[in-house]
Amino acid sequence: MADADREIELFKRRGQDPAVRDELVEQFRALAEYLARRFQGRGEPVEDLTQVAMIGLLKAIDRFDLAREVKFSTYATATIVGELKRHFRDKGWSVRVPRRLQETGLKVSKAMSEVSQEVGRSPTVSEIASHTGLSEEEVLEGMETVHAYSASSLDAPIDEEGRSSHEIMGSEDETIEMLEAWTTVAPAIQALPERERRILYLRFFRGLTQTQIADEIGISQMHVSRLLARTLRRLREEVRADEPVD
Amino acid sequence: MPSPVVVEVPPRPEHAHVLRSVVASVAARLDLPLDSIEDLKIAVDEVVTHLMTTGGTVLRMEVLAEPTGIQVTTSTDAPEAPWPPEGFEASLTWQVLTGLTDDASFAVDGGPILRFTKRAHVHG
Repeated sequence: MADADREIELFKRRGQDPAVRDELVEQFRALAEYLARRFQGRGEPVEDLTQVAMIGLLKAIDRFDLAREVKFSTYATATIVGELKRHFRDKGWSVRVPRRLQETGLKVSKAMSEVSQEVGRSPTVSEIASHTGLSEEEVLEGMETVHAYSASSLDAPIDEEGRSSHEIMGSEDETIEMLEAWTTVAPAIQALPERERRILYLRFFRGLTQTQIADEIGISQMHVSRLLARTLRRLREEVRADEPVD
Repeated sequence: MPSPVVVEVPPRPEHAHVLRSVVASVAARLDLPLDSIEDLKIAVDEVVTHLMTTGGTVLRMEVLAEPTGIQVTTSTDAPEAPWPPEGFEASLTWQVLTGLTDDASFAVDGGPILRFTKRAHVHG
């Protein structure tokens, strides 16, 4: 029997026989794992992401309608990606940002790198305001937006950011130093993506400012700020999860 | 003596952004660099998340702006809360707070208090 026919056969029997469902899961497991890896490096361990992707796969298997003129892999990809995005959104990392705010955010973000180049240090809100013609309130609003904005960029696979250059990798010693000092969150630190761990190290153990870290790693200061806030949020969740309930 | 900006919110996570915005706004008026403002926002998040676990009905934040810098005092009305909790100085909250601010302290006065300061550095 051809693969496609076999697949249709399996879908027809999925409701009656749990073994059939398992077989479908096995057949498409690689797809779920692949999609999970595309969302790696955003502050969530890949094992968690794989689990979320597997839930998406199960939903896709249960809901797939054979009458649809679409291949299951296409349908499953959409369902799994949807599940992964929802996962990030539920973590509070994704917010739909209105267009006006997006534009303000972009303007502020651009002005921040221009002004900091100009003055050779982290700029102030009033400097950004006069550079952009926005009010100080709008600049502050824009800064918040840049944080929330990371949500939209979830659509882009992380690998394309070209992030694994040598500079962003911390040394073994750095990790050990952190684990020793921050024992309460050691497992979570170990699970962090390299870049996030390095940012944490440079900020808390080397005392570099966000702007200096941005220079060192080659990303914008806002990006550093965003990653730092997200990383700490993740560590915090880890601590809370370990706390005894009284 | 300048008077502080005082905000009170229910101790729930969805209100953290209000406190963050208030601190950012006061810091901006002091002309603190963006780096410091972002540090303050993270510190507020950290402290507030921690204080929410102590119970109480109100989370109070006092922001004092002086030419030398900004002082943020956060507290809850949870007199029964064991404060500071055991091993607090090894906790993530304390590490983050001392790492991001120029001065941090904890106290008790009818409930747990966490206070931190970020100095306004002279540009140059």
